[in-house]
Amino acid sequence: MSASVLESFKALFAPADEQLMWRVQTADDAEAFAELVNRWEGPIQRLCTRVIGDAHRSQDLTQEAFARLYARRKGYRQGSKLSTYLWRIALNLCYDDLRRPYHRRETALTNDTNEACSPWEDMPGDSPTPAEHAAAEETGEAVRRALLSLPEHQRTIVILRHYENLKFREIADVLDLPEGTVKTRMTEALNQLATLLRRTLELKVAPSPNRRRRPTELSVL
Amino acid sequence: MNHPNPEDLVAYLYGELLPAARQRLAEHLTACPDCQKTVNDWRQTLSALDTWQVPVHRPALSALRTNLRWAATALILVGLGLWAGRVTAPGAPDARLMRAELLPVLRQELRQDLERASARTLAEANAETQRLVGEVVQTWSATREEDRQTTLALYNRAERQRKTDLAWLRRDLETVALTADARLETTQHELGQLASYSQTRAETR
Repeated sequence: MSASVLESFKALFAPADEQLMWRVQTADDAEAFAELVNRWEGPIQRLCTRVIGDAHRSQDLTQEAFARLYARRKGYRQGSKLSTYLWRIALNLCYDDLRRPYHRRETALTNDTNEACSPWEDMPGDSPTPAEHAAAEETGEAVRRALLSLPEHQRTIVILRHYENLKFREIADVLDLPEGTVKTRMTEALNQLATLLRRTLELKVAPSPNRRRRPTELSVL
Repeated sequence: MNHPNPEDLVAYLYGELLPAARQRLAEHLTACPDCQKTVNDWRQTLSALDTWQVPVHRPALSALRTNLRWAATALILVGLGLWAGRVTAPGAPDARLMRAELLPVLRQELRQDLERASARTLAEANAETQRLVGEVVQTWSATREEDRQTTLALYNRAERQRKTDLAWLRRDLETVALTADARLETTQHELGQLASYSQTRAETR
């Protein structure tokens, strides 16, 4: 069974996050909590990695976020979205971490960038040339540095909107801000990022018409 | 020309405008190079953002175990469904249709169950709070009464002591008065004797 079909089937019968949280609150249901962790571990870890710029530390923060969610399970109000509650817990942990003096942000994703997905990895047929691959990695690294140079309140909004696909209204709920303020900060962030990335984007290697193709058969002369 | 504000442009970029507003803005962009450039710059920036992919490290075993559990559940349910379909013969209802019909009812029942459970929990919490408040009031009243009794006892003791002291003082004063009277009488008698002696001597000379 492919992953997407399995996910669709799971979604058909899966209880909502709020239902699972109800079970955790009232009966300390470990299975229900494990299911919540399973669903939200990825998004929370990605958020933490992008906010603080440290993939290793983000794993710790992710665990801490779920530990805090469990410890404060009685404080969660039924009727509100669990995702909002969880995003807030994770962001507060990230902001606290950013204020600590030991930060390893500059050593952050040097190794992980090499493991990161290239936009061309899954394309059938042609594989990127080493130059294209290097260019993609360089752009990714430039994006990382540009995002980390933004003020926290702008960076968070870009991450939630662009990478986690929350609507502006949902971001406003998470950050407890008016929706207009969220959009204004997003425009400021985009203008800043455009300025920071302009040179990198102009130098980005375009796909060459002579890029190497994988040989599918040997020609026999 | 009235330019849209940047907030509307970013909402347009992410497809969050209502259709009518989106249409108006799209028409404006075709006629306004400045706004079009802003949107293009942002689009290019957003494309660049996509190049920063972040790996997620998660324990492979837990994910595999979860998927296996779901796969096993799926197989059992599919098997049961097939068996039920064969047994119930032709005319078996469409599973999707049944699900679409059952889902609102199930949601409604779940919502009612949740509301009842919430109300019950709230009532129990209120009763417990009332009981605790009552206990606190009782304890406080008992403490106050105890303090009052202690104060009263101290006061009574002090009052008794005062009376005792007064009685002694009175007795002492009476003793002093009697002693003073006796001494006065003695002195008067001695003075009388002295006077008669002096007179007698004066007569015999």
